[in-house]
Amino acid sequence: MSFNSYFDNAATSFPKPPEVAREVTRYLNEIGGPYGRSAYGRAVEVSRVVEATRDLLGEVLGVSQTDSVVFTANATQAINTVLFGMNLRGKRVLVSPLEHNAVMRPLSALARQRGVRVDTLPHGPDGRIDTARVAHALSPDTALVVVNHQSNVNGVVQPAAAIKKALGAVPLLLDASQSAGHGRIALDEWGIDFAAITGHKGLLGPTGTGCLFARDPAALAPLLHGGTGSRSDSVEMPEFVPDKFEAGTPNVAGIFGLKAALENRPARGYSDEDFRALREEIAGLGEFIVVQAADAACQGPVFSLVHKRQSPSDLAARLFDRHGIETRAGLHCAPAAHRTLGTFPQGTLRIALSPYHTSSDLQHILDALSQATDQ
Amino acid sequence: MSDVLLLFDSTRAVIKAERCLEQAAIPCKVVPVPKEISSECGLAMLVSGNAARDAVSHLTHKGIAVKQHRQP
Repeated sequence: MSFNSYFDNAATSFPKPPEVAREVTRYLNEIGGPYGRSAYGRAVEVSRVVEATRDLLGEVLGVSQTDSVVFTANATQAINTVLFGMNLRGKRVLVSPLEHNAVMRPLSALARQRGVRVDTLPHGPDGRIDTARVAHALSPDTALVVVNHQSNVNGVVQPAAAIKKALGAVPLLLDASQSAGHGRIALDEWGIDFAAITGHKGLLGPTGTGCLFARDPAALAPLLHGGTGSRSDSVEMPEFVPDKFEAGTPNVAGIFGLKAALENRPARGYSDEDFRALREEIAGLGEFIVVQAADAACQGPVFSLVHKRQSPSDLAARLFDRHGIETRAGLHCAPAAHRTLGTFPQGTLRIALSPYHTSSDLQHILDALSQATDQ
Repeated sequence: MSDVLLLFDSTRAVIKAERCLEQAAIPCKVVPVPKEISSECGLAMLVSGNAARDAVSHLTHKGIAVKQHRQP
Protein backbone atom coordinates (compact mmCIF):
# COMPACT_ATOMS: atom_id res chain seq x y z
CA MET A 1 0.00 0.00 0.00
CA SER A 2 1.43 3.37 -0.97
CA PHE A 3 1.80 6.08 1.62
CA ASN A 4 2.30 9.80 1.57
CA SER A 5 5.99 10.15 2.39
CA TYR A 6 6.12 13.94 2.25
CA PHE A 7 6.25 15.58 5.69
CA ASP A 8 7.82 18.91 4.67
CA ASN A 9 4.57 20.80 4.21
CA ALA A 10 5.71 23.73 6.35
CA ALA A 11 8.31 24.46 3.65
CA THR A 12 5.86 23.99 0.81
CA SER A 13 2.84 21.73 0.52
CA PHE A 14 2.66 18.64 -1.61
CA PRO A 15 0.58 17.27 -3.18
CA LYS A 16 -1.74 20.00 -4.41
CA PRO A 17 -5.36 19.46 -5.41
CA PRO A 18 -5.23 18.23 -9.04
CA GLU A 19 -7.25 21.24 -10.13
CA VAL A 20 -4.28 23.50 -9.31
CA ALA A 21 -2.04 22.19 -12.09
CA ARG A 22 -5.05 22.00 -14.39
CA GLU A 23 -5.85 25.69 -13.92
CA VAL A 24 -2.22 26.81 -14.19
CA THR A 25 -1.97 24.86 -17.43
CA ARG A 26 -5.29 26.21 -18.68
CA TYR A 27 -4.05 29.73 -18.14
CA LEU A 28 -0.71 29.10 -19.82
CA ASN A 29 -2.09 27.09 -22.74
CA GLU A 30 -5.54 28.50 -23.36
CA ILE A 31 -6.33 31.75 -21.58
CA GLY A 32 -3.15 33.82 -21.50
CA GLY A 33 -3.49 37.55 -21.46
CA PRO A 34 -2.64 40.20 -18.89
CA TYR A 35 -4.38 41.40 -15.75
CA GLY A 36 -5.92 44.85 -15.79
CA ARG A 37 -4.18 46.19 -18.86
CA SER A 38 -6.68 45.60 -21.68
CA ALA A 39 -10.37 45.06 -22.37
CA TYR A 40 -10.38 42.25 -24.93
CA GLY A 41 -12.02 39.00 -23.92
CA ARG A 42 -9.12 37.01 -22.55
CA ALA A 43 -7.74 39.97 -20.61
CA VAL A 44 -11.09 40.63 -18.98
CA GLU A 45 -11.41 36.94 -18.16
CA VAL A 46 -7.99 37.06 -16.46
CA SER A 47 -9.02 40.11 -14.48
CA ARG A 48 -12.21 38.35 -13.36
CA VAL A 49 -10.22 35.34 -12.11
CA VAL A 50 -7.68 37.51 -10.29
CA GLU A 51 -10.43 39.48 -8.56
CA ALA A 52 -12.39 36.34 -7.67
CA THR A 53 -9.21 34.97 -6.10
CA ARG A 54 -8.77 38.18 -4.13
CA ASP A 55 -12.30 37.73 -2.78
CA LEU A 56 -11.54 34.14 -1.79
CA LEU A 57 -8.41 35.29 0.04
CA GLY A 58 -10.57 37.84 1.83
CA GLU A 59 -12.66 34.92 3.09
CA VAL A 60 -9.52 33.08 4.23
CA LEU A 61 -8.43 36.17 6.16
CA GLY A 62 -11.86 37.00 7.50
CA VAL A 63 -11.96 40.53 6.12
CA SER A 64 -14.71 42.48 4.42
CA GLN A 65 -12.34 45.17 3.14
CA THR A 66 -11.16 43.04 0.23
CA ASP A 67 -9.74 45.94 -1.80
CA SER A 68 -6.99 45.95 0.82
CA VAL A 69 -6.04 42.35 0.03
CA VAL A 70 -2.96 42.80 -2.12
CA PHE A 71 -1.25 40.11 -4.16
CA THR A 72 2.43 39.60 -3.45
CA ALA A 73 4.98 37.02 -4.56
CA ASN A 74 5.07 35.52 -1.08
CA ALA A 75 4.61 36.34 2.59
CA THR A 76 8.15 37.71 2.78
CA GLN A 77 7.30 40.45 0.28
CA ALA A 78 4.13 41.26 2.20
CA ILE A 79 6.07 41.50 5.48
CA ASN A 80 8.73 43.69 3.89
CA THR A 81 6.01 45.96 2.53
CA VAL A 82 4.79 46.62 6.07
CA LEU A 83 8.18 46.88 7.74
CA PHE A 84 9.73 49.17 5.14
CA GLY A 85 6.46 50.94 4.33
CA MET A 86 5.80 52.21 7.86
CA ASN A 87 7.72 55.09 9.31
CA LEU A 88 9.69 53.14 11.92
CA ARG A 89 12.76 55.39 12.12
CA GLY A 90 13.99 55.50 15.71
CA LYS A 91 10.99 53.48 16.89
CA ARG A 92 10.65 50.24 18.79
CA VAL A 93 9.18 47.03 17.36
CA LEU A 94 8.08 44.14 19.54
CA VAL A 95 8.16 40.63 18.10
CA SER A 96 7.08 37.20 19.19
CA PRO A 97 9.85 34.86 20.37
CA LEU A 98 9.23 32.47 17.47
CA GLU A 99 9.78 34.77 14.49
CA HIS A 100 11.03 33.60 11.11
CA ASN A 101 13.85 35.35 9.29
CA ALA A 102 11.21 36.78 6.95
CA VAL A 103 10.63 39.17 9.85
CA MET A 104 13.97 39.17 11.66
CA ARG A 105 16.17 39.93 8.66
CA PRO A 106 14.23 43.00 7.51
CA LEU A 107 14.13 44.17 11.12
CA SER A 108 17.88 43.68 11.38
CA ALA A 109 18.30 45.81 8.26
CA LEU A 110 15.98 48.44 9.72
CA ALA A 111 17.98 48.45 12.94
CA ARG A 112 21.09 49.32 10.94
CA GLN A 113 19.46 51.72 8.48
CA ARG A 114 16.83 53.48 10.59
CA GLY A 115 17.74 52.88 14.20
CA VAL A 116 14.81 50.56 14.88
CA ARG A 117 14.98 48.76 18.24
CA VAL A 118 13.64 45.22 18.43
CA ASP A 119 12.48 43.56 21.65
CA THR A 120 10.69 40.31 22.36
CA LEU A 121 7.22 39.96 23.81
CA PRO A 122 6.86 38.17 27.16
CA HIS A 123 6.26 34.48 26.67
CA GLY A 124 6.25 30.99 28.12
CA PRO A 125 8.87 28.26 27.56
CA ASP A 126 7.21 27.06 24.34
CA GLY A 127 7.17 30.60 22.94
CA ARG A 128 3.48 31.23 23.46
CA ILE A 129 2.98 34.88 24.26
CA ASP A 130 1.89 35.76 27.79
CA THR A 131 -0.99 38.06 26.97
CA ALA A 132 -1.36 39.19 30.59
CA ARG A 133 2.08 40.82 30.38
CA VAL A 134 1.85 42.28 26.87
CA ALA A 135 0.52 45.69 27.90
CA HIS A 136 3.43 46.09 30.36
CA ALA A 137 5.90 45.49 27.54
CA LEU A 138 4.67 48.48 25.56
CA SER A 139 6.43 51.84 25.63
CA PRO A 140 5.47 55.18 24.08
CA ASP A 141 7.83 54.56 21.15
CA THR A 142 6.45 51.10 20.32
CA ALA A 143 5.27 51.57 16.74
CA LEU A 144 4.53 47.99 15.69
CA VAL A 145 4.15 44.47 17.03
CA VAL A 146 4.86 41.46 14.83
CA VAL A 147 3.54 38.01 15.69
CA ASN A 148 4.14 34.72 13.93
CA HIS A 149 0.64 33.26 14.14
CA GLN A 150 1.75 29.64 13.97
CA SER A 151 5.37 28.69 14.50
CA ASN A 152 7.09 26.85 11.69
CA VAL A 153 9.26 25.09 14.30
CA ASN A 154 7.06 23.81 17.12
CA GLY A 155 3.62 24.63 15.72
CA VAL A 156 2.54 26.89 18.59
CA VAL A 157 -0.48 28.95 17.61
CA GLN A 158 -0.47 32.41 19.17
CA PRO A 159 -3.60 33.98 20.71
CA ALA A 160 -3.85 36.71 18.08
CA ALA A 161 -7.14 38.19 19.28
CA ALA A 162 -5.99 38.48 22.90
CA ILE A 163 -2.66 39.96 21.85
CA LYS A 164 -4.35 42.64 19.77
CA LYS A 165 -6.74 43.40 22.59
CA ALA A 166 -3.77 43.93 24.92
CA LEU A 167 -2.04 46.17 22.36
CA GLY A 168 -4.94 48.57 21.95
CA ALA A 169 -4.09 51.10 19.23
CA VAL A 170 -0.55 49.80 18.62
CA PRO A 171 -0.66 48.14 15.19
CA LEU A 172 -0.17 44.38 14.89
CA LEU A 173 1.30 42.58 11.88
CA LEU A 174 0.27 38.92 11.89
CA ASP A 175 2.51 36.57 9.92
CA ALA A 176 -0.02 33.87 9.08
CA SER A 177 2.22 32.01 6.63
CA GLN A 178 1.89 28.73 8.49
CA SER A 179 -1.63 29.04 9.87
CA ALA A 180 -3.43 29.96 6.64
CA GLY A 181 -5.31 26.92 5.47
CA HIS A 182 -4.93 25.14 8.79
CA GLY A 183 -6.37 27.35 11.50
CA ARG A 184 -9.06 29.98 11.72
CA ILE A 185 -8.07 33.53 10.77
CA ALA A 186 -10.54 36.32 11.55
CA LEU A 187 -8.75 39.61 11.06
CA ASP A 188 -11.90 41.76 11.25
CA GLU A 189 -13.16 40.06 14.38
CA TRP A 190 -9.74 40.24 16.02
CA GLY A 191 -9.05 43.82 14.89
CA ILE A 192 -5.73 42.90 13.27
CA ASP A 193 -4.07 45.75 11.34
CA PHE A 194 -1.79 43.93 8.90
CA ALA A 195 -1.40 40.31 7.83
CA ALA A 196 0.84 38.36 5.49
CA ILE A 197 0.13 34.94 4.04
CA THR A 198 1.58 32.71 1.40
CA GLY A 199 -0.33 30.61 -1.10
CA HIS A 200 1.91 27.58 -1.36
CA LYS A 201 1.87 26.17 2.17
CA GLY A 202 -1.39 25.39 3.96
CA LEU A 203 -3.51 26.89 1.22
CA LEU A 204 -2.12 24.25 -1.19
CA GLY A 205 -1.58 26.70 -4.04
CA PRO A 206 1.47 27.28 -6.26
CA THR A 207 4.71 28.89 -5.13
CA GLY A 208 5.07 32.56 -6.03
CA THR A 209 1.68 33.51 -4.62
CA GLY A 210 0.89 35.37 -1.42
CA CYS A 211 -0.90 38.40 -0.12
CA LEU A 212 -0.79 41.33 2.24
CA PHE A 213 -3.78 42.73 4.08
CA ALA A 214 -3.50 46.35 5.18
CA ARG A 215 -6.46 47.71 7.12
CA ASP A 216 -5.11 51.25 6.75
CA PRO A 217 -3.31 51.37 3.41
CA ALA A 218 -2.46 55.03 3.96
CA ALA A 219 -0.14 53.96 6.80
CA LEU A 220 2.21 52.28 4.32
CA ALA A 221 4.36 53.51 1.46
CA PRO A 222 4.66 51.04 -1.42
CA LEU A 223 7.67 48.76 -1.44
CA LEU A 224 7.73 48.46 -5.24
CA HIS A 225 7.02 51.15 -7.80
CA GLY A 226 5.98 50.48 -11.37
CA GLY A 227 3.15 49.96 -13.80
CA THR A 228 -0.31 49.10 -12.52
CA GLY A 229 -2.50 49.62 -15.59
CA SER A 230 -4.12 52.54 -13.76
CA ARG A 231 -3.33 56.28 -13.71
CA SER A 232 -0.83 55.61 -16.44
CA ASP A 233 -0.36 59.32 -17.15
CA SER A 234 1.37 59.73 -13.79
CA VAL A 235 4.85 58.63 -12.74
CA GLU A 236 3.62 58.30 -9.17
CA MET A 237 2.04 55.17 -7.73
CA PRO A 238 -1.75 55.36 -7.28
CA GLU A 239 -2.91 56.04 -3.73
CA PHE A 240 -5.82 53.59 -3.95
CA VAL A 241 -5.70 49.89 -3.22
CA PRO A 242 -4.98 47.32 -4.40
CA ASP A 243 -3.01 49.17 -7.10
CA LYS A 244 -0.86 51.08 -4.60
CA PHE A 245 0.95 47.86 -3.69
CA GLU A 246 0.72 45.91 -6.95
CA ALA A 247 3.39 47.32 -9.25
CA GLY A 248 4.23 45.03 -12.14
CA THR A 249 2.37 42.14 -13.69
CA PRO A 250 1.22 39.71 -11.02
CA ASN A 251 1.80 35.96 -11.09
CA VAL A 252 -1.37 35.29 -13.05
CA ALA A 253 -0.61 31.60 -13.68
CA GLY A 254 -0.03 31.15 -9.97
CA ILE A 255 -3.19 33.02 -9.09
CA PHE A 256 -5.24 30.75 -11.38
CA GLY A 257 -3.75 27.83 -9.47
CA LEU A 258 -4.36 29.44 -6.10
CA LYS A 259 -8.02 29.99 -6.93
CA ALA A 260 -8.32 26.31 -7.83
CA ALA A 261 -6.66 25.36 -4.54
CA LEU A 262 -9.05 27.52 -2.53
CA GLU A 263 -12.06 26.08 -4.32
CA ASN A 264 -10.99 22.44 -4.10
CA ARG A 265 -9.56 21.98 -0.64
CA PRO A 266 -9.57 18.32 0.42
CA ALA A 267 -11.04 17.08 3.67
CA ARG A 268 -8.37 16.28 6.23
CA GLY A 269 -7.42 12.60 6.21
CA TYR A 270 -6.39 12.32 9.86
CA SER A 271 -8.02 13.37 13.10
CA ASP A 272 -6.88 15.57 15.97
CA GLU A 273 -6.70 12.40 18.02
CA ASP A 274 -4.43 10.73 15.42
CA PHE A 275 -2.11 13.74 15.54
CA ARG A 276 -2.04 13.92 19.33
CA ALA A 277 -1.39 10.16 19.53
CA LEU A 278 1.52 10.47 17.07
CA ARG A 279 3.26 13.06 19.23
CA GLU A 280 2.63 11.11 22.40
CA GLU A 281 3.85 7.84 20.92
CA ILE A 282 7.01 9.46 19.56
CA ALA A 283 7.69 10.83 23.04
CA GLY A 284 6.96 7.36 24.41
CA LEU A 285 9.77 5.86 22.32
CA GLY A 286 12.11 7.42 24.85
CA GLU A 287 14.61 8.51 22.19
CA PHE A 288 13.21 11.90 21.23
CA ILE A 289 12.39 15.25 22.73
CA VAL A 290 9.19 16.42 21.07
CA VAL A 291 9.30 20.18 20.49
CA GLN A 292 5.67 21.25 20.51
CA ALA A 293 3.08 23.48 22.18
CA ALA A 294 2.75 23.06 25.93
CA ASP A 295 -1.02 23.14 25.52
CA ALA A 296 -2.30 20.72 22.87
CA ALA A 297 -5.16 23.11 22.15
CA CYS A 298 -2.58 25.60 20.81
CA GLN A 299 -0.87 23.12 18.49
CA GLY A 300 -0.82 23.55 14.72
CA PRO A 301 -0.07 20.65 12.35
CA VAL A 302 3.72 20.95 12.59
CA PHE A 303 6.16 19.97 15.33
CA SER A 304 9.82 19.17 15.76
CA LEU A 305 11.99 16.44 17.19
CA VAL A 306 15.40 16.29 18.75
CA HIS A 307 16.99 12.87 19.03
CA LYS A 308 19.04 12.22 22.11
CA ARG A 309 22.11 11.11 20.12
CA GLN A 310 21.66 11.73 16.38
CA SER A 311 21.82 15.14 14.79
CA PRO A 312 18.68 16.34 13.00
CA SER A 313 20.41 16.12 9.63
CA ASP A 314 21.60 12.54 10.26
CA LEU A 315 18.13 11.54 11.35
CA ALA A 316 16.53 13.18 8.32
CA ALA A 317 18.96 11.41 6.00
CA ARG A 318 18.29 8.09 7.68
CA LEU A 319 14.51 8.54 7.45
CA PHE A 320 14.82 9.26 3.76
CA ASP A 321 17.39 6.60 2.89
CA ARG A 322 15.65 3.81 4.81
CA HIS A 323 12.01 4.77 4.55
CA GLY A 324 11.68 7.35 1.79
CA ILE A 325 10.31 9.84 4.30
CA GLU A 326 10.90 13.51 3.48
CA THR A 327 11.39 15.87 6.40
CA ARG A 328 13.40 19.02 7.02
CA ALA A 329 16.31 19.30 9.42
CA GLY A 330 18.07 22.37 10.78
CA LEU A 331 16.97 25.85 11.79
CA HIS A 332 14.07 26.25 9.34
CA CYS A 333 15.06 29.89 8.73
CA ALA A 334 13.98 30.65 12.29
CA PRO A 335 17.09 30.98 14.48
CA ALA A 336 15.24 33.26 16.89
CA ALA A 337 12.66 30.53 17.48
CA HIS A 338 15.35 27.94 18.10
CA ARG A 339 17.08 30.22 20.59
CA THR A 340 13.78 30.55 22.44
CA LEU A 341 13.24 26.79 22.43
CA GLY A 342 16.81 25.87 23.36
CA THR A 343 17.48 24.07 20.08
CA PHE A 344 20.00 26.53 18.61
CA PRO A 345 22.35 26.05 16.76
CA GLN A 346 21.76 22.41 15.88
CA GLY A 347 18.08 22.85 15.14
CA THR A 348 15.49 20.11 14.93
CA LEU A 349 13.93 17.57 12.63
CA ARG A 350 10.57 18.97 11.56
CA ILE A 351 7.41 17.03 10.73
CA ALA A 352 4.73 19.06 8.96
CA LEU A 353 1.42 17.50 7.99
CA SER A 354 -0.88 18.04 5.05
CA PRO A 355 -4.63 17.47 4.83
CA TYR A 356 -3.72 14.69 2.40
CA HIS A 357 -2.07 12.69 5.18
CA THR A 358 -4.05 9.82 6.64
CA SER A 359 -3.88 8.05 9.97
CA SER A 360 -1.95 5.29 8.13
CA ASP A 361 0.67 7.81 7.03
CA LEU A 362 1.07 8.95 10.62
CA GLN A 363 1.50 5.33 11.72
CA HIS A 364 4.09 4.90 8.98
CA ILE A 365 6.27 7.75 10.20
CA LEU A 366 5.92 6.55 13.78
CA ASP A 367 7.14 3.09 12.70
CA ALA A 368 10.00 4.66 10.77
CA LEU A 369 11.05 6.78 13.75
CA SER A 370 10.95 3.75 16.02
CA GLN A 371 13.39 2.01 13.67
CA ALA A 372 15.44 5.06 12.73
CA THR A 373 17.79 4.76 15.63
CA ASP A 374 18.46 1.04 15.18
CA GLN A 375 22.04 0.46 14.18
CA MET B 1 -30.37 57.67 -25.84
CA SER B 2 -26.63 57.20 -26.27
CA ASP B 3 -24.59 54.85 -24.13
CA VAL B 4 -22.86 56.11 -21.02
CA LEU B 5 -19.27 55.28 -20.20
CA LEU B 6 -18.58 54.49 -16.57
CA LEU B 7 -15.06 55.12 -15.32
CA PHE B 8 -13.40 53.54 -12.30
CA ASP B 9 -10.11 53.91 -10.48
CA SER B 10 -8.92 50.35 -10.75
CA THR B 11 -9.36 47.05 -12.51
CA ARG B 12 -10.72 45.64 -9.28
CA ALA B 13 -13.44 48.28 -9.22
CA VAL B 14 -14.42 47.47 -12.82
CA ILE B 15 -14.71 43.77 -12.13
CA LYS B 16 -16.64 44.37 -8.91
CA ALA B 17 -18.95 46.74 -10.79
CA GLU B 18 -19.52 44.21 -13.55
CA ARG B 19 -20.51 41.59 -10.98
CA CYS B 20 -22.81 44.03 -9.15
CA LEU B 21 -24.58 45.14 -12.30
CA GLU B 22 -25.02 41.56 -13.50
CA GLN B 23 -26.58 40.67 -10.17
CA ALA B 24 -28.89 43.66 -10.52
CA ALA B 25 -29.77 42.61 -14.09
CA ILE B 26 -28.42 45.86 -15.51
CA PRO B 27 -26.75 45.12 -18.87
CA CYS B 28 -23.17 46.34 -19.11
CA LYS B 29 -20.06 45.77 -21.17
CA VAL B 30 -16.40 46.05 -20.19
CA VAL B 31 -14.55 48.15 -22.77
CA PRO B 32 -11.18 49.86 -23.11
CA VAL B 33 -10.91 53.36 -21.78
CA PRO B 34 -11.08 55.67 -24.83
CA LYS B 35 -7.71 57.10 -25.64
CA GLU B 36 -8.85 60.67 -25.01
CA ILE B 37 -9.37 59.64 -21.37
CA SER B 38 -5.91 58.59 -20.42
CA SER B 39 -5.90 59.15 -16.70
CA GLU B 40 -7.96 56.11 -15.70
CA CYS B 41 -7.24 52.39 -15.81
CA GLY B 42 -7.33 50.37 -18.98
CA LEU B 43 -10.89 49.19 -18.42
CA ALA B 44 -14.18 51.04 -18.38
CA MET B 45 -17.81 50.03 -18.71
CA LEU B 46 -20.61 50.87 -21.09
CA VAL B 47 -24.24 50.96 -20.01
CA SER B 48 -27.21 52.17 -21.94
CA GLY B 49 -28.27 55.76 -21.33
CA ASN B 50 -31.58 54.54 -19.94
CA ALA B 51 -29.84 52.40 -17.34
CA ALA B 52 -27.07 54.80 -16.40
CA ARG B 53 -28.81 56.43 -13.47
CA ASP B 54 -29.78 53.06 -11.96
CA ALA B 55 -26.30 51.69 -12.56
CA VAL B 56 -24.54 54.59 -10.87
CA SER B 57 -26.98 54.58 -8.01
CA HIS B 58 -26.55 50.86 -7.52
CA LEU B 59 -22.75 50.99 -7.64
CA THR B 60 -22.57 53.97 -5.31
CA HIS B 61 -24.82 52.16 -2.87
CA LYS B 62 -22.39 49.23 -3.01
CA GLY B 63 -19.47 51.53 -2.21
CA ILE B 64 -17.90 51.44 -5.67
CA ALA B 65 -16.65 54.85 -6.76
CA VAL B 66 -17.73 55.59 -10.34
CA LYS B 67 -17.71 58.55 -12.72
CA GLN B 68 -19.98 59.00 -15.73
CA HIS B 69 -18.74 60.05 -19.13
CA ARG B 70 -21.47 60.47 -21.73
CA GLN B 71 -20.46 59.19 -25.15
CA PRO B 72 -20.42 61.86 -27.86
